[in-house]
Amino acid sequence: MSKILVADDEPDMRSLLSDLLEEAGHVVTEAENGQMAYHQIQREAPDVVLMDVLMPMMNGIQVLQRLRNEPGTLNLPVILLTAFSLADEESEILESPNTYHVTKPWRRGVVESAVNTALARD
Amino acid sequence: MSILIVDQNLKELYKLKTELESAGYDDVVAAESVGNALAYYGVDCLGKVPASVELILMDFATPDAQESGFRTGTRASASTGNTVMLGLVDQNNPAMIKRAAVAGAMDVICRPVHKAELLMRFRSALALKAERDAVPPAEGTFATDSDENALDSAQGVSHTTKVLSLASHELKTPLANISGFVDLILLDWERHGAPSEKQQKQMEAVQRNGFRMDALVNDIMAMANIESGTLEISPTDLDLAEELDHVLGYVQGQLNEKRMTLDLIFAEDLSPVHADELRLSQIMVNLLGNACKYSPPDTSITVEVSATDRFAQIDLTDHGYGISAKDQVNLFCQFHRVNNPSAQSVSGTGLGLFVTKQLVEAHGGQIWVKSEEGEGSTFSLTLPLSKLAASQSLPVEQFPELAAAA
Repeated sequence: MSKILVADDEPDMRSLLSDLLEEAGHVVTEAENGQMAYHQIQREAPDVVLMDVLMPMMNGIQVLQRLRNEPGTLNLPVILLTAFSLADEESEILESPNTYHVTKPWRRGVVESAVNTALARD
Repeated sequence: MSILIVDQNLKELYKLKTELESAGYDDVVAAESVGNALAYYGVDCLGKVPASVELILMDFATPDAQESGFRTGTRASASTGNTVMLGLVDQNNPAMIKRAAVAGAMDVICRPVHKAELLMRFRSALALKAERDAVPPAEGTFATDSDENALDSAQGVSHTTKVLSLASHELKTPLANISGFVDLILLDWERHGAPSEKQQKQMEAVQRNGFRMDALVNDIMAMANIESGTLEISPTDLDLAEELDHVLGYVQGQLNEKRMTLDLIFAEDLSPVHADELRLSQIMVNLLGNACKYSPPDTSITVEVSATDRFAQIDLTDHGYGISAKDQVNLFCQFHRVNNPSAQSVSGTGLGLFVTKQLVEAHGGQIWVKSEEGEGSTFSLTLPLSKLAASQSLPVEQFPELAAAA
């Protein structure tokens, strides 16, 4: 059983991910924008973060950048969710260790196995 | 209010500073490189310059203006609204304009710089910034949006293409929600039994149509990318058997609906292909979807995978209506739809095969068709094998392009 933070500005998407991950036996907390996600990560120290890229206040890439700049979260597994390919995001932060990517909509089992991979590498 | 100019051309740098100062901008900081500017403010990226710096004029020929640290730093600042950036670029240099757009520049000023134009651009950039600062940002995507705008105006992308691309992006999220929840329900029914066979069938229809819509949105988005010249692929080494198995998940519903069967035949010891996973899936979903759409019920489809020296070949054979020689000529053209009486009731956009061909070719592969009316069709495509596998089987010197890439 792992602690997972789900960050997405879409309430439906948040509850979908929560349902999915709770079904798989994890404990899930939710954040509705990048800034909240960032603060909750500091406070709750989740095992894995599942984060939308397009979010208000601070987007997923910016949150990731901050996380990778701090020793405590340097290696925190982060799974980025996008509705498109990340090919046009040229940021090298996407190459940082323990950073994964899942495209919406995903095939059955993809989110669960991304979480498992992220946990195994931790 | 302070303005920062970064320009490696010292003569131009001081001319711009003088012109701005004479127009009443009293705090103009001139730096000949990004490094100098950062040292001046004592920060490690442009995103962290003090909020008093309202505008940055950036010469994109400056060597360190291209480094990624600068880029991401600026994007971060553009989205929090501290500052706006204008790019200083050479006229008729689309690559530099694109660089400015990607870095988050709001607008570009082309050389040679005329004082009147410089001041006008400054006024409008600052007015836009004031307007933006007055409204709290609703989305955290400001930088990305303005990048896209800048890219569009630089490349003359049609308004329709842009609307299509935006609409498609927006469709993706609700689609992901629909197919995600439907899948959770179906999974639950698999474990605990469905309320009834009828409801199981209905829910499968919702899922099937979700997949269809997703495939359509993918094609429209790819179409927008093709039109704007921004189609990009990010290839990795992929196991074709595994990928085709995933793809099957998307089309299984369509196959079941028409009681069709699909046989997969793989050559032994097949090396991985070097392809973009999402694009590969899009290519196969399009071709399998077509095979299914243009075949009568109770027929079969065969997918056979073989390999040559450097390419994997996928042959997809159906026993459908077939394509006339006349239709084959324009088959891969945009909006072309076959003119076959038995296929006339089949709905479609005429985008699928056009997009598919572009995607295959973007990978360096080829696609072609062999078909007889009334007999069925075989669509064949090639995709490059992983470079690792190719270089193991043959000396690298034979392939200059591989040697250059390594």
